Amino acid sequence: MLQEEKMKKQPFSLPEAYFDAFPERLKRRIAEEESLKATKPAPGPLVRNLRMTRSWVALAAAIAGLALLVSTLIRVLVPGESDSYPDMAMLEQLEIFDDDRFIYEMMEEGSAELDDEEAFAQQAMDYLALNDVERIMIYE
Amino acid sequence: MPEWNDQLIIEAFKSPGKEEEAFGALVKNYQERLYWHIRKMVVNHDDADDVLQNTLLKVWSSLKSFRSESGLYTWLYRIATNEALSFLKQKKKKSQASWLDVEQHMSESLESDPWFSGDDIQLKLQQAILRLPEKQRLVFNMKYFDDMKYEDMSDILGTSVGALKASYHHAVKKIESMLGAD
Repeated sequence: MLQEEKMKKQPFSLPEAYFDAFPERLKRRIAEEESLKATKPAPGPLVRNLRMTRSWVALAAAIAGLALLVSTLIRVLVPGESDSYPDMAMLEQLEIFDDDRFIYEMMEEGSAELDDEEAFAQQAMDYLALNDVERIMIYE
Repeated sequence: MPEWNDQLIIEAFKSPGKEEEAFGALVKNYQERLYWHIRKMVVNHDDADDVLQNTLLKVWSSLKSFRSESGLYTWLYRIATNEALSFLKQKKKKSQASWLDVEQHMSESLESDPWFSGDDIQLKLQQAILRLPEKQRLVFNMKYFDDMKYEDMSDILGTSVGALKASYHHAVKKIESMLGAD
């Protein structure tokens, strides 16, 4: 049934001349947004610092959690390399991170403060770089 | 008057005084493709209109710092995808319901939507697609309706080609099963 050509046809319609009128509506919207930005006072240094700090604290907590998980798993899988054995209750509470999902959600969490694509990419790269450093420290 | 290709748009946007003209060309070149990409995710025309505006607002404020590491097309689609997914996430939060309830509502709204012009079987197909997880819906729409290459989808979604192929295969199976059950 999915192979039928009719099924691949777009079943959605839209108002006549929508795309003719859209650029002008968008232009007005951009002008409104820029006018709002111009009249809105910029957040003070304290608010900006709090926002940045909140993002980095969340990121640091996530990395610490991931490092703890990895080190605990090593202790579980390689007995004898550590003097202490993992607490099973703690293991059960630790979330297993799906890296792709985590990076996406981490990037989304920061997006309220960091608006552009460049900032998203930078944040993700920072996470990966910090993650590798942590792994090297664990294996040493 | 030269035709506005991606390269010209990016260069012109970085030249003082040419930003509006360049952005106007970008909107003209991409508005329809972006709209339909968004519309297939959010289904409702008014919502698609909102998300398209939000997408292009983000593009306007970020285009100056666009580094051309990915193509303009890929970058625009990525922003549109993120905006559509954010919109759906917000919708779920606002309704304080699970995704299943939101999807149910979207599915039921389609039947009386003045901007839905499909027949019964096309309606059933859209309702089946709505039951897929959001990211799998994206993959299905991009492959089935847009016939996008997996490599391009991989660039836009940041997921491996293998994972995309598997996701699409499973989506097709689920939808065929749902359509067959009716």
